[in-house]
Amino acid sequence: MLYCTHCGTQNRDGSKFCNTCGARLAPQSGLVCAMCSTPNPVESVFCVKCGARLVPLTQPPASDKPPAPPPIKGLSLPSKSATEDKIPAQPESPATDAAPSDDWLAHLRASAPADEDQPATESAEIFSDRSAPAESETRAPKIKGVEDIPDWLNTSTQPQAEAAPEIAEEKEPTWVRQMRATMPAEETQTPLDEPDPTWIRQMRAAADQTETPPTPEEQTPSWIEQPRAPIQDREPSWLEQPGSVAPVAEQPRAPMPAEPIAPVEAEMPAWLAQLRATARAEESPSETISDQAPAWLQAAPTSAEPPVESSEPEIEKPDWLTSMMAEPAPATESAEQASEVPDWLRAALPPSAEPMMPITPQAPAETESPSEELIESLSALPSPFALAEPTISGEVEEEDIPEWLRTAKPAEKPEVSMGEAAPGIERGQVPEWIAALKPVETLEQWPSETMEGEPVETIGPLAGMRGVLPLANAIAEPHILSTRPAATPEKSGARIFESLLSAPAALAAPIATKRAPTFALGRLLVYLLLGLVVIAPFLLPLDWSSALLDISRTPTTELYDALNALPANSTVALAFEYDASNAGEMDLQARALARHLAQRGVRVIALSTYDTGPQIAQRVLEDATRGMDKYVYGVNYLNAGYLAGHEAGLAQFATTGFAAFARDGKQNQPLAQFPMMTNVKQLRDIALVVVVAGSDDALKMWMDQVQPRGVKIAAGVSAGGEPKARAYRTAQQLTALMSGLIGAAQYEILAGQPGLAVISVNAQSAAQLVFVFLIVIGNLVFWIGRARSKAK
Amino acid sequence: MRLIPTALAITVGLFTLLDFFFDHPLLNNVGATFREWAIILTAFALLLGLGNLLFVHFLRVTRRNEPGTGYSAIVLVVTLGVFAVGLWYTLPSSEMAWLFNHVYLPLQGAFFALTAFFLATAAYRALRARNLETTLMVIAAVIVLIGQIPLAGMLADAREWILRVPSEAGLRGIMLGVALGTLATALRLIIGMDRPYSE
Repeated sequence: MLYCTHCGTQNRDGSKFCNTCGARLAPQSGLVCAMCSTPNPVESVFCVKCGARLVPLTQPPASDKPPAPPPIKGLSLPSKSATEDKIPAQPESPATDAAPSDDWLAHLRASAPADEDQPATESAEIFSDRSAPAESETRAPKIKGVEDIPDWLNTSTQPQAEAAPEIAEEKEPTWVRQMRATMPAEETQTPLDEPDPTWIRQMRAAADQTETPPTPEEQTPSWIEQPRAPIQDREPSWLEQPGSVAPVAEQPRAPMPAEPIAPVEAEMPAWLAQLRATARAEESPSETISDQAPAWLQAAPTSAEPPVESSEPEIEKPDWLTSMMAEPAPATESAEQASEVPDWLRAALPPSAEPMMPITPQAPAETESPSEELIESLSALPSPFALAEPTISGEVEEEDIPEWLRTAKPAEKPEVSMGEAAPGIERGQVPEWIAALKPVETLEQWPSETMEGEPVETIGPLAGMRGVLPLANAIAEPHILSTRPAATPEKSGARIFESLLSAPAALAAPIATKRAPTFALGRLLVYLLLGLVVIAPFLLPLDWSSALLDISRTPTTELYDALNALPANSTVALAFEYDASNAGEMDLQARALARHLAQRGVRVIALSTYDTGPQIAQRVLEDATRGMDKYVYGVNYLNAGYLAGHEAGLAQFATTGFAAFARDGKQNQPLAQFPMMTNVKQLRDIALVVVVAGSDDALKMWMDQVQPRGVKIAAGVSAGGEPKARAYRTAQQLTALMSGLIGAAQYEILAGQPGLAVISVNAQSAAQLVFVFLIVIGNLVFWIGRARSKAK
Repeated sequence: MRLIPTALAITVGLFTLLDFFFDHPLLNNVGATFREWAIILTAFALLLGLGNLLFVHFLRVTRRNEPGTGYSAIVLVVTLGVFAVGLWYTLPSSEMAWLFNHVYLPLQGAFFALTAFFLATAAYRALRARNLETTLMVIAAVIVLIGQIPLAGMLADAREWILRVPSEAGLRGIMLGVALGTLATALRLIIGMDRPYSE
């Protein structure tokens, strides 16, 4: 996986350009682990394969190197910045330095930029776990010398310290460089003005309580500077190296690339060399320390100082530091004993692993020598040393462990009963209020028989008590459910819940709208009005339609003329192509036609493709021929009945004639038995086919299947079917056309026998006026409402 | 297996079509036979529909908690009653004519007459001149309604013009389109492109 140096995007191996930004990809970008050569993402702190630390905690000592990049994301450990590289560029002399008095702390803080991200509490924990930074500072002069440091450590850490910044620089993303380029030079070079971390401020505040703030000349404590000049080889690594980091700012487990404990004079930074030269020229180390140490440090009690075999003068520590040092410390060894690094430890680390071995300078304990702190820090290192551990465990024997190391082991915790005090430790006095809490009285109240068999507490504040946890009773006794009476609110809530659950699910009531009652009322009024105007003409002796109907130039007149022109003994087929629903309208047409044909003596054969047609036809024919005794069934008219097969049956009728009918619709006799059917076999024997159709579909069937056979067809259709039937009439496919109730009324008038059709036209005309009135009212309401809504 | 139904459909369709256009004894006989088959199938379909209707309503009655169970029971009872009367008195008969003229016909006429009331409310709510098209429609409706009234003889000519020119033109166009569609569908069925009988 290749990581883009420009945007950090992961790209596939072998990619030449970034998938995101298109930048050219280096053959291997990212952080390459120095331990296993595994490429890691830019943000990685530890190697994904071997766990080795990828980002060095220290900065390269080279002064010509560019300033270190900002802390890499995810790096929470203090790392060394190039701040100290800038120190030579600053006014080095304490007298001329205008920096704050605690600049030495600011240097440390600035050298660990990642510490800014650390919470104060975390820093405080680190501080409490290890030691105070002042502690480490004060102990710096007590470092014995480079001869106490193992050789492998001296030699192995040097390449790492030099290689780390190069790696970091190579893996520095472009955005970091751009950010640094845009950053003001002052900020990048002298971040000393940045606010100190909380832990430093707390330390400073604690120091200020006991001592007055140091003068500007004491910005860099002399007790730090002085030992550097005369005793170069005793400077701790993190002080000696410009890029080193304060031990206090490190996490205990974080490994750190090893620093050369005793740097060569040539590799010493310029600022340090200048300091040394100044120190040599001015005074001796001991005097410098005693004079330049801050007052608070000089006033610190030295009784807490362990008896360290060192030629360095005692350094006074502040009270707060003394109190910290007064805490119980592990058993100390003599300086010589502690400074001895065992051979097994020197041999434990293979030379090959030495350059890769990150070593974190731990905050040394007060009474420990540098070697001890080194060993202790080594023991605290987790993963990197785990690699070398098999080698150590495989070679180290129990007897090889030095005595000091054995004694340094934490003593096994003796089993101390509650009633006994640990040797050397006085038993504390239990306050009375705590003693009163001892449940001795409660134990006595329990029945003695239930205590039998129960264990006796042997340790702890309940020592000597039996049956503190009566497990046997808890198991043996039956469980009794708690019958705590429910509170009134709970009961009422439960009742409400039960009532809700037990109530039947009611259907959602329709949403009542404001319009619904009004519209229901209006609909009722419409129905009443329509009913009245339809019924009234049948009740009132008012006949205005017969006088006002136009019968001169209508299609009905054409039909009337066509029927009137038929010879007296001719045969007409009257098709009843409507059902009972259209009977109210079509019966009037059929009746008028049948009556007219009967009056003229024309033979009529009724038929229908509707299953209910024969019944309708029979009723109409009986009504039309009522009172005509000479017009006899079977001789002058005939109900041929139902023609099955719908359109297919009609097609069959068009080809085969009346053979398609088996029996008549009144007497259920074969058609051939009727006298009028003697000369009527085919459709060509029919003078005219009059189709009384309640719908245009019925007429269409006749026009499709029968009319093409050369049969003349006239039609009487409903008002709804008139528009489509007009097309057949216009095309001359229909001989004549009569439509609707108006046509029936016209035909009655033409026949000179106004009847029910004429009366029905009165009702129908009144209903149509109501329709027009409703349409007008509806549009007025709509337009008024629209105008009001627009006005609003 | 689709070959036989397709071949039958093509054969019957072609013979029926030829019988319609040509007057030949063979074609007339074959065509008449095919039409007889169609009539029988139609009658069988009518019986099948009647049986299905009775079965559906029977299931509704036998199953509880079905909506409209009472109406289904009424349908079954009335159907069986009329069927019994028809069997007993045969058809046609005066009893069956009485049932038809005094029960079936008034009911059908009443249901159809109710549409007049729905049309009245629809005329109030739907026929509104919201834009140009609806305005023209409302005007045409008003003219046709009033022109049909004998009292408004002056609008009769306007009504006749509306029915003869714009209305008939539109309907003729619709009928021609339907005829072409029917012709295309019939051709597809005859040549076997559409096989609804085998699906």
